Amino acid sequence: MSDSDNILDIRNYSLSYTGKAGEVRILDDINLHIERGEVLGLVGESGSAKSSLANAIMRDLTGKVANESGQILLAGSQIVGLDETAMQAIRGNRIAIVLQNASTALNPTMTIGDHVVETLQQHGRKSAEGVRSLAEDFLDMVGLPDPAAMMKRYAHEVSGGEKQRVVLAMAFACEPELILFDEPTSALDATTAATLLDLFIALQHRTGVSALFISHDLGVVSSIANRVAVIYGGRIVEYAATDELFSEPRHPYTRSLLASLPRPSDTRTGRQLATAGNLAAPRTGPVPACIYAGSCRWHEPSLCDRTAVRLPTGEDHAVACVKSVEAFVQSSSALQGSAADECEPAETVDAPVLALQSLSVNYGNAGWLNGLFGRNAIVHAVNDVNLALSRGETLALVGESGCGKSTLAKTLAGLVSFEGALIRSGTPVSAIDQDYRARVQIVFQNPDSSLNPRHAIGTILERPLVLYRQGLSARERRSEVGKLLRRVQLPEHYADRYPHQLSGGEKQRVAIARALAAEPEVIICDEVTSGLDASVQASITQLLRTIQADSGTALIFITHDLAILRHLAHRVAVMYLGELIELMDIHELDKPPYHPYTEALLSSSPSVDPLTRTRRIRLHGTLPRRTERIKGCAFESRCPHRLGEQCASERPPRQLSATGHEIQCHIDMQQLSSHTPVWRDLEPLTET
Amino acid sequence: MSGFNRTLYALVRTPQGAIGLLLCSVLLLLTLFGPELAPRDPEQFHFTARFASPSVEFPLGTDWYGRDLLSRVLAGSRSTILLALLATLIGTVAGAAIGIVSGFLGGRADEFIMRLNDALMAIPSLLFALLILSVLGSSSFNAVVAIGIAFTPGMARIARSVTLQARAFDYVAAAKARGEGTAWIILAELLPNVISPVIVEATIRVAFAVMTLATLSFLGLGAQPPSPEWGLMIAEGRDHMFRSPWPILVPGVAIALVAISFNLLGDGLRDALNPQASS
Repeated sequence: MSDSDNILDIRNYSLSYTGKAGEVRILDDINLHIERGEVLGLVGESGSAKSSLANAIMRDLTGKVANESGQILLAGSQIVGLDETAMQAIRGNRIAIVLQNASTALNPTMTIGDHVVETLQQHGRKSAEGVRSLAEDFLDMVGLPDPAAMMKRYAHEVSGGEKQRVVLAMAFACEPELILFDEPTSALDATTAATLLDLFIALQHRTGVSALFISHDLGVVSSIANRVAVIYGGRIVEYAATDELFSEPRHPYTRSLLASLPRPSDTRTGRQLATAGNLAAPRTGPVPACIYAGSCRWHEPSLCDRTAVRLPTGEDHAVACVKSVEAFVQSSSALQGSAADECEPAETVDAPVLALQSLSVNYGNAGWLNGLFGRNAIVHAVNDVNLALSRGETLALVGESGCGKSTLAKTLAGLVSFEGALIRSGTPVSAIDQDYRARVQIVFQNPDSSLNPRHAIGTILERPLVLYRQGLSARERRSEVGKLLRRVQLPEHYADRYPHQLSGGEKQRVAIARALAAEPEVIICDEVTSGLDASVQASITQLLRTIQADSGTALIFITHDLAILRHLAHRVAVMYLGELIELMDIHELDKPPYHPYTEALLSSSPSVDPLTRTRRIRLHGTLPRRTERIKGCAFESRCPHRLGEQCASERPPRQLSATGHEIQCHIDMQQLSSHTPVWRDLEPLTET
Repeated sequence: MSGFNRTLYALVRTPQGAIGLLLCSVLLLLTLFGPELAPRDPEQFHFTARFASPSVEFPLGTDWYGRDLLSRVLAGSRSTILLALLATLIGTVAGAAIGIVSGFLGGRADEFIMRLNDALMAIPSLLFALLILSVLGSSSFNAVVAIGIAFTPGMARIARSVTLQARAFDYVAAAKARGEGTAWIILAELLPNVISPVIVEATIRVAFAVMTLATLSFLGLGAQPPSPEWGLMIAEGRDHMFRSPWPILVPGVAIALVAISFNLLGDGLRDALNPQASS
């Protein structure tokens, strides 16, 4: 077992912290190794102790340690129990870490050059002149444009993707043997994240560094890791080579993770997402024989609880489960069909419940001082958007951060003033009044922020009833609150609880219930599923579909995650820098024509799908400033299919196909149709 | 009332909260029953026992007229602590109201209110209180009003900064989108989230109020002799400092004790009022 080829070897490692209610198990019986030059992926849902493992390897334990046992060997030498000085020599030098949030990893008062120089000097490269040029080389290596100028900039002067590149440069600067990545791309836009992943793969090939890649996003991990370990409740439940793990998952937990993950081939195969969530693993009290016993659908007390279920060592594909794979294969169809209602979205009736006509939103004011200096401080957040929403329809609004989709949501919710016309059920809306507010409701992205922590759930749900349904008595309101909770599949006694006593998915359900209270015609869902685990996301989308089927409410579903669209939306609108650049039916998502930006966006969303291969399209170039009026096409600076000068100087025409597919581009729609599809089917669909 | 019980439970679970609560309850009992508990008449002279050290007869000694210091401190507790609490209450309510409204309104109105507030804050609070007293005339009640007004700008700043943080949360946007009135947003959405730092600040300010009141009395602008107000006792005792330290030490320690008790209570409340901590 003790081959020196392993850069990291974790043996029987366990860690527990002292909590309020006694000892809390964090990591339990971890056996893992990373070979030299290997990338090991680590996946699990929130609360599975993924990050705690990275902290343990860094010897940066965040809690009060109650018990720690086992070994963590770095190139054969034990690092558990090393003192702080010895660890400082290892951190950065031999193990580097790249965290999720690059903006907090960089000191705002230091230039980017100083960051890299400091890292180099900390680890023994002293000569002053050489260090600066070396630092420049590293910035060049991570693909930052004009490294010499970049050296002098501050963190706030560069974009999020560039910041993460700087952090990557700092990680590579000391030529470490192992790099720990903790959700490095989760905070980035899809197209930016995709280029960053490409960069890392290239650098990894060049330097041969080993890495532990932690992510909740299985798609990202599948594109980067050689092997993948699955962690649940602080225990590794399965590991295998990446392809094998994703095509033949064995452990019930891995299977449940994959089952709730949307795939590009879902429309083709009619696959449904599993919505059965996993419970949090027990962290205190007696250790269960199998850590997953509480959530496992195949749990058999007589078989599973006999002895402690451990991960076998020395196998290429190890599973911490006593049952054989055959047992799951027989019932695997049951899992597939568990949410079996039609994949086809509900029929829509053509009567626009809400129409937007050349709607624009501008932020900021010119101000006399800015006018004096010739500066323009007005941000054109939403630019000339035309849309019509039918009754009972789900319109998905996609785009990256800063494209104006959330501004549009707030505008429709009556929080931001606008120019242009808004027409509700045929009558123009002159002022956002109580009647409009009751008919158009919004659900915000983060329920931690949108639910007042000082109000009980009952109070939160009662307010819209007080405002919009004034005929109700206090007792009727109470029973109405119970009905609302039942509609979002929560028990009625939750009315007495406070938001912090609920889980993330439950909180979002309460927020949805609040929107339902007014019996609205339109619900705007602003990124309601981002930040939730895949199974919770699947169950929330399922809930929204049920609500829509029951009440005929139209939904505007704003998201940056394209994979989930196939399970929810009827039409897709793509926004880029405040402009609506494409509008299409969901069935047109699988084949061209696409707007060049949509094409890149679809290609950037990583997915675990054994049935499809995604074509790689990456975007380069910079975004224009938001305060400038763009003369030509907004996407011109990054477009891989740029035609020439006309893209920069002329506004692209709005092209409309016979099926209602709308594209704003200079390239002819016929020509866009001839582009290679983003997804290629790996095996022909067998008709059943 | 369950919210109150929960806060109370969380409060006594921290050591500083438990001690602070205990000391403050004792002080509260003193303010209620102090004068009745006094073993002697606080204003009776004992010429045979001037500058007496603590003994069985006079547990905390006597002053230059031979008045019993224990009785004087007990008798003075009501006026000192009660007046300090009243001054804090005036400052807190006025400051919180100004701060929350200003923070909620934002924009030009906020700019105007806060610049005015900053101008007032530039004047040291003692000087400010003196200014107000010179207009109102010197009396215990006027001193309380003066201190209350002098505390307002600081409190307004704190309330505003917390309001600005709270206003950024989506529950305020959600309330606006729902069409809630300004009164509901301020009183029901913002106030419960803003109140805990304000309460914590207020408990710390009680100690300041005791000391400022003492200072004003010391300067002869608050309570008038022969009142057993603690600040006044120290001011008068100063002339006899080298004959005996007890007339200064006893009220001095009493003031310090009040300050420490309320500070401990404030620290405990800060942890207890954190909604995430009490789950």
